[in-house]
Amino acid sequence: MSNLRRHLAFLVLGALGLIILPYFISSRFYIDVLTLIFFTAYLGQSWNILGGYAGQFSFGGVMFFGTGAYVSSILLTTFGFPPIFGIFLAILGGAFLGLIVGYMSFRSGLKGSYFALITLAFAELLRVLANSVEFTGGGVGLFLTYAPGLSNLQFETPVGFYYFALVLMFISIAIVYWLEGSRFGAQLVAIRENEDAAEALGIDTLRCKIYAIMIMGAMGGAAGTFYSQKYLYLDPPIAYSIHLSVEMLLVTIVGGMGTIFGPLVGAFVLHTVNEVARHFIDTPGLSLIVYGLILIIIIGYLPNGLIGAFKKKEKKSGSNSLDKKRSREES
Amino acid sequence: MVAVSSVDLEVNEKEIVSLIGPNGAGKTTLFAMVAGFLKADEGEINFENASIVGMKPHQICQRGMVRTFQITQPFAGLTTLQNIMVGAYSNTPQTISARKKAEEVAEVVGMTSLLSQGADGLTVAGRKRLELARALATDPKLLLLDEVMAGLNPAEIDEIVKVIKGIRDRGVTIFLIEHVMKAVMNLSDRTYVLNDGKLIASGTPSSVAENPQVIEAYLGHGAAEAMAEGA
Repeated sequence: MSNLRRHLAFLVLGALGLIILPYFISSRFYIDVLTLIFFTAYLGQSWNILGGYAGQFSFGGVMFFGTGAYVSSILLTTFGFPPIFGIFLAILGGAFLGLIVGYMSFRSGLKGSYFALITLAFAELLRVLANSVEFTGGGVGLFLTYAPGLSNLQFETPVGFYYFALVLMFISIAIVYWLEGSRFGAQLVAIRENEDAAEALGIDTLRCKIYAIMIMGAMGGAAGTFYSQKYLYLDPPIAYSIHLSVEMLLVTIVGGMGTIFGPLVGAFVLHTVNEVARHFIDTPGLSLIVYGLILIIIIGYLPNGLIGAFKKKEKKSGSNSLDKKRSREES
Repeated sequence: MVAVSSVDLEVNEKEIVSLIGPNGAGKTTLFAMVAGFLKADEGEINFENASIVGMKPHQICQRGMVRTFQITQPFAGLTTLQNIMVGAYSNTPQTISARKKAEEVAEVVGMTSLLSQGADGLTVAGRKRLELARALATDPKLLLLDEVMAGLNPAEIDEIVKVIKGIRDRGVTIFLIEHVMKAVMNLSDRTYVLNDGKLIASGTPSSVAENPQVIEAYLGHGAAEAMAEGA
């Protein structure tokens, strides 16, 4: 019990730290970087639920983000619908898209690389569609006006968006924390580890996988609203960018799939590496090479991510208190 | 090519019934069809007087029939406890009661000391037991055991035979595929023999073992006569 308490205390302290951090940082740049880290960690966490816990790797995670962004933005620009309510419709939109994509692909038994490819295809399909229909603004895109206020989910300072992203990230961590101790989470992990055995033991694997992708979709939808209200512009290449699909799986894999803090750790490390490389290397493009090299090293030598490597080390050094804690949470 | 054809068999409540036959006879295929993993082209499968044809494995499991796998299918990345809990969760959404159920089941199959061990580190005997434990944790009425003794040494077999008898005494009906004849003789109330996808004999284990057709199925044509002459 004391272990659990210590763990909880550590969590609360960390959260408090992030909450008061903006009072010690005056640079707009650092606030923006941190905001982006939380945003990526949040998206990574949504990918983590389907990919890390249920073992279904998606390569088109951006489709939920883009759809959510369009839902709330179109509602705002066309009907003047306030984003503070629009974000809930974006969440619904993302979940509904998850239902459709999940039903169609899992129903027909797609898994592994086939599932990854079909999600990529869906994202690309939506990008082309968004480009060719009128109500999305087509290739010209949608311009949102800047009118700070809570009902617009826009803020006068970058710190406002910092807290917005932080809240999203806290929620995502809470969801996964719940998952770790719940039956649903155990069922997802069972599906990841062995789908036939899961089915034999009474788990409705199709339904569970669809629920998982719906949660991912709902989370992605909210991220879309966040993005469009912060950057005030949306077009198909942004809304459905492959880059973002890759980034959300990358931060999770680097940090540790199927762990609570993997996406956050991954997002923090990758963004830091990226910024540091950009800061110290002047030759254009070279920073990307350094970034790529570090990525190769991490993925090559730490197949279980940074958190996995840390846990292994704990185990080796004989102090397995962390593992005990984890097994308590997981069970 | 048909793996199993026109097989007609039944298992009564609280019986231990075994299914034997040479390799490739279609035993596992038959199990897979009964448990909903494969679809039979034709025929009826009834469980507790209701047809379960076309149902998915998880639906059949929820009705109280659960299978184990001949090639063990542990959730390798999880501990023994977590593995068994997955089975236990089929009857309760509560983590605490699932854990309690899992610990009870572990006691029944003798895995209590292995609960915190990773399933990928279990021995063959441990994995076989884990298959049994997970299935048992779903609180089945009918347990389909597919070669849970293959690869075990005689001492381990004696132990698992005891465990299976104990499970039957708790009111669970058992239908098992087995090659270990000593265990088949010891456990079964009745035995069916499958060869080339067809049932060739049925009855008490000892009567089946003396059946010439069965001996020929295992040892080849003419073997029954040779054995009779030899005796």
